[in-house]
Amino acid sequence: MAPRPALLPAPPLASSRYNRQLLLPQVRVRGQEHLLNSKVLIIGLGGLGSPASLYLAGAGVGTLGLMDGDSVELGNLHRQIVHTEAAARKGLLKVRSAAARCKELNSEIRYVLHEERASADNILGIIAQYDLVLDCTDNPATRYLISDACVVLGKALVSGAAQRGEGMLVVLDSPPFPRPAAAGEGGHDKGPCYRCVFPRPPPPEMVRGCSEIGILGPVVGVIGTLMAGEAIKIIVAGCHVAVSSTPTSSNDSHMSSPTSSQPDQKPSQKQPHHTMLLYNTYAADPRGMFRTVTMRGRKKDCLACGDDDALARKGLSRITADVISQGRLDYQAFCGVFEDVKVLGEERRIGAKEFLETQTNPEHNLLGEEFESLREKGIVIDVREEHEYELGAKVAGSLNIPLSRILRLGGSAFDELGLLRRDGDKGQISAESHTQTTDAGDEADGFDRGPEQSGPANEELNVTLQPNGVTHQERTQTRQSRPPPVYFVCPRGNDSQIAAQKFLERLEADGAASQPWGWIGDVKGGYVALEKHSQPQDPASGL
Amino acid sequence: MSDTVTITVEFSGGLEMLFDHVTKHELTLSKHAADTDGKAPTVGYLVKYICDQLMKDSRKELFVLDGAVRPGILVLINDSDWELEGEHEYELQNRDNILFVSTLHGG
Repeated sequence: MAPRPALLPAPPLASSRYNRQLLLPQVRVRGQEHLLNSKVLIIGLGGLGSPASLYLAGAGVGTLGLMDGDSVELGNLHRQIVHTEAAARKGLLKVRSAAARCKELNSEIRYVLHEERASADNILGIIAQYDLVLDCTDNPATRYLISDACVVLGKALVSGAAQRGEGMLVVLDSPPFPRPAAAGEGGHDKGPCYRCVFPRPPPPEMVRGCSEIGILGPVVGVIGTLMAGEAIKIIVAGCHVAVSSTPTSSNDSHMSSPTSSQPDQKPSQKQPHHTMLLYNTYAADPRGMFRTVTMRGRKKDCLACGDDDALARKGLSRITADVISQGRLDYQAFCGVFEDVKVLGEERRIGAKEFLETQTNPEHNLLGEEFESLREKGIVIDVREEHEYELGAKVAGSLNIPLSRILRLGGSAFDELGLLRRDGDKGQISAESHTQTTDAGDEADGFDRGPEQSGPANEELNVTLQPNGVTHQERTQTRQSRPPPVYFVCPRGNDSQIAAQKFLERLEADGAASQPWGWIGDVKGGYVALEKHSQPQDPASGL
Repeated sequence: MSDTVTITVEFSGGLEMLFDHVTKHELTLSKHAADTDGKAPTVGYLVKYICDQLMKDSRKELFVLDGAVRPGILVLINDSDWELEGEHEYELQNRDNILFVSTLHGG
């Protein structure tokens, strides 16, 4: 009989690539085994999904599902760090690009690629294959869809979002199964779902994409990273699967909502705190960059995760798998579609093509008939916000009065039109500034033509815009025909209508007698339409 | 007993755009305003006050819809969901912090 070795070998996992993370007392070998046995789905491989996929691959989740229907573009790369320039050049699908990169990090786990957008048709079948879901998508309709599917299928959902300089993180539907009562403690009810926290979606005009409103890479990166952290916490603790299927231990029973604030410190508390993390990189008080707020719990009458009797009392019916898969819930309609504004009548709207023609009067310029040309050109008021105006293509000689200013100040936002009459005040005139952002080379006619075009335009505007300061005689001498038209322009032809309407109201308040303007209206379709008609050399890459 | 309540009101998630891009506002509210009756004003009163007094932007519907804070805005009273604090009924105390945050959806 061989002598028993004095030294027993360490478990193989202990010396594995995961050594550093299973050194944590909260993880240990068993936590790592949970990770290796887990199946995690990341929906959306953008700014949130990028770090989330990398960290979860590195942590060794057994199966990593990646779902997205988009392709990589150059404008993604400042924040979507899982992707590469090579992928952007080839226009590779995001899931393929992300999987390739994750494989370089960890080739020992299984990757499943779902090259499609989340939809009512596919969502249940795909989520059903996983234990836990990360919502890294970018719109409310998809967020409700994913949340409902997770509730129906009993999956915990880690939900993150970010835009501009802000982010939020919340763990939903967790634990996905009621936890049985542990000794001396009540059982933990399920946490809230997305619908409990946001029973109704925000108005569609508040929902604008990152390509419109901007996003800082590190902000969305922080949230995506925290999402991976929450996912790891849930899985390591075994809270992602029904208790009966995992070996129970005292360790499991006190795990509550993964973002709960230290449940150990309040042992008497029966319900865990549900929390949401808010991050604001530009917080007015830097001590408030990270804020963890206490959230409401599950709503008893929630359409997705509510109690049968509470729903029945209100005559409501629950969202079931059938309701979702048969398309009986129109998520797009629920969240609303941004409808085009209809404020102005057709007679106050000009098509992009016709507008560009009014701005392009080469024959007049050749003849030196500046007055004539300018009477046609009139004044162009661009109502984009200042920073948007700075970055975008512009109509030569346009004046920037941001919509927010118009809405804040009302009619007096247009006071500066009067100032134009006086010399020297060109503060808002784009003539000089916009040439910097213009690409060299051919510009389409009448579109962003530079200072030589807009310089004289401004001078002319100074003379003709505000007839109050010009004698009647002068007026009749310089332009006996029509007063100059006023064109409002914005990104899509919505804000411009609102602005034009405010301007008309102002004029009405001032009294029609002093009407110094010709036709007043807006450019249909805004810059989207203008760019189409001006055939730019190098269209801005979509984000 | 002071006749006023001084609180901090914050806007984030894009709501600050409706308030001239100012995220943090110190407000002093009277306890003898029209409908406070000598009692501490409530959050419901505050919402109306913000709409009528603080907000210069005319897009009121992006803050209040049908007399209630519009969907997609979370109201946090001292970092706690107002549903846990009595919603409109909550009586404001000195140095309370009320945060209005619009849902983020980007990813």
